Amino acid sequence: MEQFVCVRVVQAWGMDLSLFQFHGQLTWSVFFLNADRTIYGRYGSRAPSGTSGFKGNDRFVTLPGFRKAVEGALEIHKGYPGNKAALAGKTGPAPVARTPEAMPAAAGLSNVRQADGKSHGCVHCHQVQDWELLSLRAKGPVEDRVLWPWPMPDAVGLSLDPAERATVTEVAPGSAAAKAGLKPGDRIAALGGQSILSIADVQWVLQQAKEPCVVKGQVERGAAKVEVSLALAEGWRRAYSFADNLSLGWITRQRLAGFRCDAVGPDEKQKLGLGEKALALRIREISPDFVKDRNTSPKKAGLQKGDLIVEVDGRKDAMTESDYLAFLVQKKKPGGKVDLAYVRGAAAPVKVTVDVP
Amino acid sequence: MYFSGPAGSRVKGARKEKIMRKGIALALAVACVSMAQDRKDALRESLKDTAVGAGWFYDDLEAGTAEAKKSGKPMLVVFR
Repeated sequence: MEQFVCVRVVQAWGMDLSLFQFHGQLTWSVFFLNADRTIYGRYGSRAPSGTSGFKGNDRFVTLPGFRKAVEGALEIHKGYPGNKAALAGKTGPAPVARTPEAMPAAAGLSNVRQADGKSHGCVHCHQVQDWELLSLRAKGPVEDRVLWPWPMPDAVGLSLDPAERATVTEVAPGSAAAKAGLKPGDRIAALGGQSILSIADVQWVLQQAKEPCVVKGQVERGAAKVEVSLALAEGWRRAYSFADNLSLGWITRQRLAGFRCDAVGPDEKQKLGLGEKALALRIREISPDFVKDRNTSPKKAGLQKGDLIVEVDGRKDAMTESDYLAFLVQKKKPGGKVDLAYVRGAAAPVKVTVDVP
Repeated sequence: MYFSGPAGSRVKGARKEKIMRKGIALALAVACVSMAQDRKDALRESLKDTAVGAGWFYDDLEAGTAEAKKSGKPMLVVFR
Protein backbone atom coordinates (compact mmCIF):
# COMPACT_ATOMS: atom_id res chain seq x y z
CA MET A 1 0.00 0.00 0.00
CA GLU A 2 2.97 2.30 0.52
CA GLN A 3 3.37 2.33 -3.25
CA PHE A 4 0.16 4.38 -3.43
CA VAL A 5 -1.01 7.71 -2.16
CA CYS A 6 -4.04 6.56 -0.18
CA VAL A 7 -7.11 8.74 0.29
CA ARG A 8 -10.23 7.92 2.23
CA VAL A 9 -13.41 9.75 1.28
CA VAL A 10 -16.28 9.40 3.72
CA GLN A 11 -19.08 11.44 2.16
CA ALA A 12 -20.08 12.59 -1.30
CA TRP A 13 -20.70 16.35 -0.96
CA GLY A 14 -18.59 18.08 -3.61
CA MET A 15 -17.57 14.79 -5.23
CA ASP A 16 -16.53 15.22 -8.86
CA LEU A 17 -19.04 13.02 -10.67
CA SER A 18 -17.29 13.43 -14.00
CA LEU A 19 -14.48 11.38 -12.46
CA PHE A 20 -15.93 9.26 -9.68
CA GLN A 21 -18.73 7.15 -11.08
CA PHE A 22 -19.45 4.02 -9.06
CA HIS A 23 -22.27 1.97 -7.63
CA GLY A 24 -23.76 4.21 -4.97
CA GLN A 25 -24.81 1.32 -2.76
CA LEU A 26 -21.37 -0.06 -2.24
CA THR A 27 -20.14 -0.16 1.29
CA TRP A 28 -16.56 -0.06 0.02
CA SER A 29 -15.48 1.23 -3.37
CA VAL A 30 -11.95 1.83 -4.60
CA PHE A 31 -10.51 3.78 -7.52
CA PHE A 32 -6.95 3.30 -8.71
CA LEU A 33 -5.91 6.36 -10.67
CA ASN A 34 -3.17 8.69 -11.74
CA ALA A 35 -2.88 12.18 -10.29
CA ASP A 36 -3.78 13.48 -13.76
CA ARG A 37 -7.27 11.87 -13.31
CA THR A 38 -6.65 8.88 -15.58
CA ILE A 39 -8.48 5.91 -14.05
CA TYR A 40 -6.60 2.60 -13.93
CA GLY A 41 -9.43 0.54 -12.49
CA ARG A 42 -12.06 0.02 -9.83
CA TYR A 43 -12.58 -2.42 -7.02
CA GLY A 44 -15.63 -3.22 -4.88
CA SER A 45 -18.80 -4.99 -5.98
CA ARG A 46 -22.09 -5.54 -4.31
CA ALA A 47 -24.61 -8.16 -5.31
CA PRO A 48 -28.13 -6.81 -5.69
CA SER A 49 -30.38 -7.31 -2.69
CA GLY A 50 -32.95 -9.97 -3.25
CA THR A 51 -30.66 -12.18 -5.28
CA SER A 52 -28.16 -13.06 -2.62
CA GLY A 53 -29.70 -12.04 0.67
CA PHE A 54 -28.60 -8.97 2.58
CA LYS A 55 -25.81 -10.70 4.49
CA GLY A 56 -24.17 -11.95 1.33
CA ASN A 57 -24.08 -8.63 -0.49
CA ASP A 58 -20.44 -7.94 0.20
CA ARG A 59 -19.17 -11.41 -0.54
CA PHE A 60 -17.46 -10.06 -3.66
CA VAL A 61 -15.10 -7.91 -1.60
CA THR A 62 -12.18 -10.11 -0.51
CA LEU A 63 -8.58 -9.49 0.49
CA PRO A 64 -7.12 -11.88 -2.14
CA GLY A 65 -9.23 -10.26 -4.87
CA PHE A 66 -8.26 -6.78 -3.69
CA ARG A 67 -4.56 -7.72 -3.61
CA LYS A 68 -4.75 -8.88 -7.23
CA ALA A 69 -6.48 -5.69 -8.30
CA VAL A 70 -3.80 -3.65 -6.50
CA GLU A 71 -1.06 -5.58 -8.33
CA GLY A 72 -2.83 -4.97 -11.62
CA ALA A 73 -3.07 -1.23 -10.93
CA LEU A 74 0.65 -1.07 -10.18
CA GLU A 75 1.39 -2.87 -13.48
CA ILE A 76 -0.70 -0.26 -15.33
CA HIS A 77 1.10 2.54 -13.49
CA LYS A 78 4.47 1.15 -14.58
CA GLY A 79 3.35 1.32 -18.21
CA TYR A 80 1.98 4.87 -17.82
CA PRO A 81 1.74 7.18 -19.77
CA GLY A 82 2.47 4.86 -22.73
CA ASN A 83 -0.86 3.09 -22.06
CA LYS A 84 -2.91 6.25 -21.41
CA ALA A 85 -4.99 6.02 -24.60
CA ALA A 86 -6.09 2.47 -23.74
CA LEU A 87 -7.45 3.72 -20.40
CA ALA A 88 -9.77 6.36 -21.84
CA GLY A 89 -12.85 4.10 -21.59
CA LYS A 90 -12.47 3.86 -17.83
CA THR A 91 -13.77 7.40 -17.41
CA GLY A 92 -17.49 7.77 -17.85
CA PRO A 93 -19.78 10.03 -19.86
CA ALA A 94 -20.86 13.46 -18.65
CA PRO A 95 -22.93 13.10 -15.45
CA VAL A 96 -26.31 14.69 -14.70
CA ALA A 97 -24.39 17.36 -12.77
CA ARG A 98 -20.78 17.95 -11.85
CA THR A 99 -21.41 17.30 -8.14
CA PRO A 100 -24.21 15.51 -6.25
CA GLU A 101 -25.49 18.69 -4.62
CA ALA A 102 -25.82 20.36 -8.03
CA MET A 103 -28.37 17.78 -9.21
CA PRO A 104 -31.89 19.22 -9.55
CA ALA A 105 -33.37 16.55 -7.25
CA ALA A 106 -31.02 17.63 -4.46
CA ALA A 107 -32.17 21.24 -4.44
CA GLY A 108 -33.29 22.42 -1.04
CA LEU A 109 -32.48 19.24 0.86
CA SER A 110 -31.13 19.85 4.32
CA ASN A 111 -27.91 17.93 3.82
CA VAL A 112 -26.87 19.92 0.76
CA ARG A 113 -27.93 23.32 2.05
CA GLN A 114 -25.23 25.87 2.61
CA ALA A 115 -26.96 28.50 4.70
CA ASP A 116 -23.70 30.27 5.42
CA GLY A 117 -22.11 29.50 2.07
CA LYS A 118 -19.70 27.03 3.64
CA SER A 119 -21.25 24.38 5.83
CA HIS A 120 -23.21 21.41 4.58
CA GLY A 121 -24.34 18.04 5.81
CA CYS A 122 -23.22 14.58 4.86
CA VAL A 123 -24.23 13.45 1.38
CA HIS A 124 -24.46 9.66 1.22
CA CYS A 125 -23.14 7.80 -1.81
CA HIS A 126 -26.51 6.08 -2.37
CA GLN A 127 -28.15 9.51 -2.59
CA VAL A 128 -26.09 10.22 -5.70
CA GLN A 129 -27.86 7.32 -7.39
CA ASP A 130 -31.27 8.33 -6.06
CA TRP A 131 -30.92 11.95 -7.14
CA GLU A 132 -29.72 10.87 -10.57
CA LEU A 133 -32.89 8.80 -10.99
CA LEU A 134 -35.18 11.58 -9.76
CA SER A 135 -33.40 14.28 -11.80
CA LEU A 136 -33.52 12.22 -14.99
CA ARG A 137 -37.18 11.30 -14.42
CA ALA A 138 -38.10 14.96 -14.12
CA LYS A 139 -36.37 15.59 -17.45
CA GLY A 140 -37.60 12.72 -19.57
CA PRO A 141 -37.51 8.95 -20.08
CA VAL A 142 -35.32 6.98 -17.69
CA GLU A 143 -33.15 4.29 -19.25
CA ASP A 144 -32.87 0.78 -17.84
CA ARG A 145 -29.24 1.44 -16.92
CA VAL A 146 -30.46 3.87 -14.24
CA LEU A 147 -32.98 1.46 -12.71
CA TRP A 148 -30.80 -1.62 -13.01
CA PRO A 149 -27.40 -0.03 -12.40
CA TRP A 150 -24.01 -1.71 -12.26
CA PRO A 151 -25.08 -5.13 -13.50
CA MET A 152 -23.30 -7.98 -11.83
CA PRO A 153 -21.74 -10.39 -14.35
CA ASP A 154 -24.58 -12.82 -13.51
CA ALA A 155 -26.78 -10.61 -15.71
CA VAL A 156 -24.95 -12.01 -18.76
CA GLY A 157 -24.61 -15.51 -17.29
CA LEU A 158 -21.17 -15.23 -15.70
CA SER A 159 -20.17 -16.15 -12.17
CA LEU A 160 -16.73 -14.79 -11.27
CA ASP A 161 -14.37 -15.82 -8.49
CA PRO A 162 -14.22 -13.04 -5.86
CA ALA A 163 -10.67 -14.08 -4.93
CA GLU A 164 -9.39 -13.39 -8.45
CA ARG A 165 -9.47 -10.41 -10.78
CA ALA A 166 -12.13 -11.78 -13.12
CA THR A 167 -11.93 -15.56 -13.42
CA VAL A 168 -15.00 -17.45 -14.56
CA THR A 169 -16.32 -20.08 -12.13
CA GLU A 170 -19.62 -20.86 -13.84
CA VAL A 171 -21.42 -20.07 -17.06
CA ALA A 172 -25.22 -20.20 -17.07
CA PRO A 173 -26.55 -22.45 -19.84
CA GLY A 174 -28.18 -20.55 -22.68
CA SER A 175 -26.86 -17.18 -21.45
CA ALA A 176 -25.02 -14.53 -23.46
CA ALA A 177 -21.77 -15.74 -21.88
CA ALA A 178 -22.48 -19.34 -22.89
CA LYS A 179 -23.30 -18.26 -26.44
CA ALA A 180 -20.01 -16.33 -26.52
CA GLY A 181 -18.18 -19.57 -25.69
CA LEU A 182 -16.89 -18.54 -22.26
CA LYS A 183 -15.88 -21.42 -20.01
CA PRO A 184 -15.13 -21.96 -16.31
CA GLY A 185 -11.45 -21.18 -15.66
CA ASP A 186 -11.29 -18.42 -18.29
CA ARG A 187 -9.60 -15.29 -17.03
CA ILE A 188 -11.14 -12.15 -18.52
CA ALA A 189 -8.14 -10.01 -19.42
CA ALA A 190 -9.99 -7.36 -21.41
CA LEU A 191 -13.59 -6.41 -22.04
CA GLY A 192 -14.97 -3.59 -24.14
CA GLY A 193 -11.38 -2.68 -25.05
CA GLN A 194 -10.44 -2.17 -21.39
CA SER A 195 -8.02 -4.07 -19.18
CA ILE A 196 -9.87 -5.77 -16.33
CA LEU A 197 -8.58 -5.65 -12.75
CA SER A 198 -11.68 -6.76 -10.89
CA ILE A 199 -15.33 -7.74 -10.98
CA ALA A 200 -16.07 -4.02 -10.54
CA ASP A 201 -14.24 -3.38 -13.83
CA VAL A 202 -16.48 -5.94 -15.55
CA GLN A 203 -19.50 -4.15 -14.04
CA TRP A 204 -18.16 -0.84 -15.32
CA VAL A 205 -18.00 -2.17 -18.90
CA LEU A 206 -21.50 -3.65 -18.58
CA GLN A 207 -22.84 -0.41 -17.11
CA GLN A 208 -21.71 1.45 -20.25
CA ALA A 209 -23.06 -1.19 -22.65
CA LYS A 210 -26.00 -0.21 -24.86
CA GLU A 211 -29.08 -2.33 -25.51
CA PRO A 212 -28.74 -4.32 -27.69
CA CYS A 213 -25.01 -4.47 -28.33
CA VAL A 214 -21.99 -6.70 -28.72
CA VAL A 215 -19.20 -6.41 -26.16
CA LYS A 216 -15.90 -7.80 -27.34
CA GLY A 217 -13.35 -9.25 -24.99
CA GLN A 218 -10.25 -11.30 -24.62
CA VAL A 219 -9.89 -14.22 -22.21
CA GLU A 220 -6.87 -16.22 -21.17
CA ARG A 221 -7.59 -19.93 -21.36
CA GLY A 222 -4.50 -21.74 -20.15
CA ALA A 223 -1.70 -20.44 -22.35
CA ALA A 224 -4.06 -19.39 -25.13
CA LYS A 225 -5.66 -16.00 -25.67
CA VAL A 226 -9.19 -16.28 -26.98
CA GLU A 227 -11.34 -13.51 -28.47
CA VAL A 228 -14.99 -13.51 -27.36
CA SER A 229 -18.10 -11.54 -28.31
CA LEU A 230 -20.93 -11.09 -25.82
CA ALA A 231 -24.18 -10.38 -27.64
CA LEU A 232 -26.49 -8.51 -25.25
CA ALA A 233 -30.16 -8.47 -26.18
CA GLU A 234 -32.71 -5.74 -25.52
CA GLY A 235 -33.68 -5.78 -21.85
CA TRP A 236 -30.66 -7.86 -20.76
CA ARG A 237 -30.26 -5.79 -17.59
CA ARG A 238 -33.65 -6.89 -16.24
CA ALA A 239 -32.19 -10.12 -14.91
CA TYR A 240 -33.18 -9.32 -11.33
CA SER A 241 -35.69 -7.25 -9.39
CA PHE A 242 -34.56 -3.78 -8.39
CA ALA A 243 -37.52 -3.49 -6.01
CA ASP A 244 -35.36 -4.84 -3.20
CA ASN A 245 -32.52 -2.47 -4.00
CA LEU A 246 -31.95 -0.70 -0.70
CA SER A 247 -31.94 2.74 -2.23
CA LEU A 248 -33.53 2.82 -5.68
CA GLY A 249 -36.08 0.25 -4.58
CA TRP A 250 -36.95 2.28 -1.50
CA ILE A 251 -37.29 5.52 -3.45
CA THR A 252 -39.49 4.02 -6.14
CA ARG A 253 -41.73 1.84 -4.00
CA GLN A 254 -42.30 4.45 -1.28
CA ARG A 255 -42.36 7.68 -3.27
CA LEU A 256 -43.88 6.48 -6.52
CA ALA A 257 -45.89 3.34 -5.80
CA GLY A 258 -46.90 3.96 -2.19
CA PHE A 259 -47.06 0.23 -1.52
CA ARG A 260 -45.09 -2.98 -1.80
CA CYS A 261 -46.45 -5.98 -3.65
CA ASP A 262 -45.60 -9.54 -4.67
CA ALA A 263 -46.32 -11.29 -7.93
CA VAL A 264 -48.74 -14.15 -7.23
CA GLY A 265 -47.36 -17.58 -8.16
CA PRO A 266 -48.92 -19.99 -10.68
CA ASP A 267 -50.59 -22.24 -8.07
CA GLU A 268 -52.37 -19.36 -6.38
CA LYS A 269 -53.37 -17.93 -9.74
CA GLN A 270 -54.96 -21.25 -10.60
CA LYS A 271 -56.87 -21.27 -7.30
CA LEU A 272 -58.06 -17.74 -8.01
CA GLY A 273 -59.18 -18.75 -11.47
CA LEU A 274 -56.61 -16.52 -13.16
CA GLY A 275 -54.63 -17.48 -16.24
CA GLU A 276 -50.94 -18.24 -15.95
CA LYS A 277 -50.00 -15.00 -17.71
CA ALA A 278 -52.56 -12.83 -15.91
CA LEU A 279 -51.50 -9.79 -13.94
CA ALA A 280 -51.75 -10.52 -10.21
CA LEU A 281 -49.88 -8.37 -7.69
CA ARG A 282 -50.75 -8.91 -4.04
CA ILE A 283 -50.24 -5.81 -1.87
CA ARG A 284 -47.83 -6.74 0.89
CA GLU A 285 -47.72 -3.38 2.65
CA ILE A 286 -49.06 0.12 2.22
CA SER A 287 -46.20 2.61 2.74
CA PRO A 288 -46.18 3.33 6.49
CA ASP A 289 -46.89 6.80 7.82
CA PHE A 290 -43.36 7.32 9.12
CA VAL A 291 -42.00 7.44 5.55
CA LYS A 292 -41.76 11.18 4.97
CA ASP A 293 -41.95 11.31 1.18
CA ARG A 294 -44.34 8.41 0.63
CA ASN A 295 -47.06 8.41 -1.98
CA THR A 296 -50.23 8.58 0.13
CA SER A 297 -52.58 8.34 -2.84
CA PRO A 298 -53.06 4.51 -2.86
CA LYS A 299 -53.99 4.57 0.83
CA LYS A 300 -56.40 7.46 0.28
CA ALA A 301 -57.91 5.58 -2.66
CA GLY A 302 -58.73 2.74 -0.26
CA LEU A 303 -56.12 0.16 -1.21
CA GLN A 304 -55.27 -2.22 1.62
CA LYS A 305 -52.77 -4.91 2.47
CA GLY A 306 -53.89 -8.18 0.84
CA ASP A 307 -55.70 -6.56 -2.09
CA LEU A 308 -54.95 -8.18 -5.44
CA ILE A 309 -54.14 -5.82 -8.31
CA VAL A 310 -55.30 -7.38 -11.57
CA GLU A 311 -55.07 -4.48 -13.99
CA VAL A 312 -52.63 -1.56 -14.46
CA ASP A 313 -53.65 1.13 -16.95
CA GLY A 314 -55.60 -1.46 -18.92
CA ARG A 315 -52.70 -3.94 -18.93
CA LYS A 316 -53.61 -7.42 -17.79
CA ASP A 317 -50.37 -9.26 -18.57
CA ALA A 318 -48.18 -10.54 -15.71
CA MET A 319 -45.90 -8.10 -13.90
CA THR A 320 -43.47 -8.35 -11.04
CA GLU A 321 -43.10 -5.61 -8.43
CA SER A 322 -39.97 -4.50 -10.27
CA ASP A 323 -41.89 -4.33 -13.57
CA TYR A 324 -44.61 -2.23 -11.91
CA LEU A 325 -42.07 0.20 -10.45
CA ALA A 326 -40.25 0.46 -13.80
CA PHE A 327 -43.63 1.12 -15.45
CA LEU A 328 -44.26 4.04 -13.07
CA VAL A 329 -40.76 5.47 -13.55
CA GLN A 330 -40.54 5.06 -17.29
CA LYS A 331 -44.12 5.51 -18.47
CA LYS A 332 -45.53 8.04 -16.01
CA LYS A 333 -44.39 11.63 -15.77
CA PRO A 334 -44.18 13.27 -12.34
CA GLY A 335 -47.69 14.34 -11.40
CA GLY A 336 -49.28 11.62 -13.53
CA LYS A 337 -51.97 9.09 -12.66
CA VAL A 338 -52.32 5.35 -13.00
CA ASP A 339 -55.56 3.35 -13.22
CA LEU A 340 -55.62 0.20 -11.12
CA ALA A 341 -58.20 -2.56 -10.77
CA TYR A 342 -58.06 -4.62 -7.61
CA VAL A 343 -59.92 -7.52 -6.07
CA ARG A 344 -60.61 -7.92 -2.35
CA GLY A 345 -61.82 -11.33 -1.27
CA ALA A 346 -64.65 -12.64 -3.43
CA ALA A 347 -65.91 -9.19 -4.40
CA ALA A 348 -65.95 -7.93 -7.97
CA PRO A 349 -62.92 -5.92 -9.17
CA VAL A 350 -62.84 -2.28 -8.06
CA LYS A 351 -61.30 0.41 -10.24
CA VAL A 352 -59.34 3.28 -8.72
CA THR A 353 -57.07 6.01 -10.05
CA VAL A 354 -54.03 6.89 -8.01
CA ASP A 355 -51.53 9.70 -8.29
CA VAL A 356 -47.94 9.11 -9.36
CA PRO A 357 -45.89 11.92 -7.79
CA MET B 1 -3.49 52.60 5.54
CA TYR B 2 -1.98 56.12 5.62
CA PHE B 3 1.27 57.05 7.42
CA SER B 4 2.10 60.70 7.88
CA GLY B 5 5.61 62.13 8.27
CA PRO B 6 8.77 62.38 6.16
CA ALA B 7 9.45 60.19 3.08
CA GLY B 8 11.62 57.69 5.03
CA SER B 9 8.91 57.00 7.55
CA ARG B 10 6.36 56.57 4.70
CA VAL B 11 8.58 53.84 3.20
CA LYS B 12 8.89 52.17 6.58
CA GLY B 13 5.14 52.49 6.98
CA ALA B 14 4.47 50.84 3.62
CA ARG B 15 6.82 47.99 4.54
CA LYS B 16 5.12 47.61 7.89
CA GLU B 17 1.73 47.53 6.16
CA LYS B 18 2.95 44.84 3.76
CA ILE B 19 4.23 42.73 6.64
CA MET B 20 0.98 43.23 8.53
CA ARG B 21 -1.06 42.18 5.48
CA LYS B 22 1.05 39.08 5.02
CA GLY B 23 0.71 38.33 8.71
CA ILE B 24 -3.07 38.66 8.59
CA ALA B 25 -3.28 36.49 5.46
CA LEU B 26 -1.11 33.84 7.08
CA ALA B 27 -3.15 33.94 10.29
CA LEU B 28 -6.39 33.58 8.28
CA ALA B 29 -4.95 30.66 6.28
CA VAL B 30 -3.84 28.94 9.46
CA ALA B 31 -7.26 29.55 11.00
CA CYS B 32 -9.03 28.13 7.91
CA VAL B 33 -6.80 25.06 7.82
CA SER B 34 -7.33 24.63 11.52
CA MET B 35 -11.13 24.98 11.15
CA ALA B 36 -11.14 22.53 8.23
CA GLN B 37 -9.05 20.15 10.29
CA ASP B 38 -11.42 20.57 13.24
CA ARG B 39 -14.37 19.76 10.95
CA LYS B 40 -12.58 16.65 9.64
CA ASP B 41 -11.66 15.57 13.15
CA ALA B 42 -15.27 16.09 14.26
CA LEU B 43 -16.54 14.10 11.27
CA ARG B 44 -14.03 11.35 11.93
CA GLU B 45 -15.03 11.26 15.57
CA SER B 46 -18.76 11.19 14.79
CA LEU B 47 -18.22 8.31 12.38
CA LYS B 48 -16.03 6.54 14.94
CA ASP B 49 -13.62 6.28 12.05
CA THR B 50 -10.41 6.04 14.02
CA ALA B 51 -8.84 2.94 12.48
CA VAL B 52 -7.53 4.69 9.34
CA GLY B 53 -3.83 3.88 8.87
CA ALA B 54 -1.15 6.52 9.27
CA GLY B 55 -0.22 8.23 6.05
CA TRP B 56 -3.75 8.21 4.66
CA PHE B 57 -5.32 11.44 3.50
CA TYR B 58 -8.62 11.65 5.32
CA ASP B 59 -11.46 13.13 3.29
CA ASP B 60 -9.01 15.39 1.47
CA LEU B 61 -8.76 14.44 -2.18
CA GLU B 62 -7.00 17.68 -3.13
CA ALA B 63 -4.14 17.06 -0.71
CA GLY B 64 -3.88 13.45 -1.86
CA THR B 65 -3.76 14.51 -5.50
CA ALA B 66 -1.07 17.10 -4.76
CA GLU B 67 1.01 14.45 -2.99
CA ALA B 68 0.56 12.01 -5.90
CA LYS B 69 1.70 14.70 -8.34
CA LYS B 70 4.74 15.40 -6.19
CA SER B 71 5.70 11.79 -5.53
CA GLY B 72 4.74 10.25 -8.89
CA LYS B 73 2.85 7.49 -7.04
CA PRO B 74 -0.55 6.23 -8.22
CA MET B 75 -3.58 7.03 -6.08
CA LEU B 76 -5.83 4.63 -4.24
CA VAL B 77 -9.05 6.38 -3.37
CA VAL B 78 -11.47 4.56 -1.07
CA PHE B 79 -15.10 5.62 -0.79
CA ARG B 80 -16.52 4.25 2.42
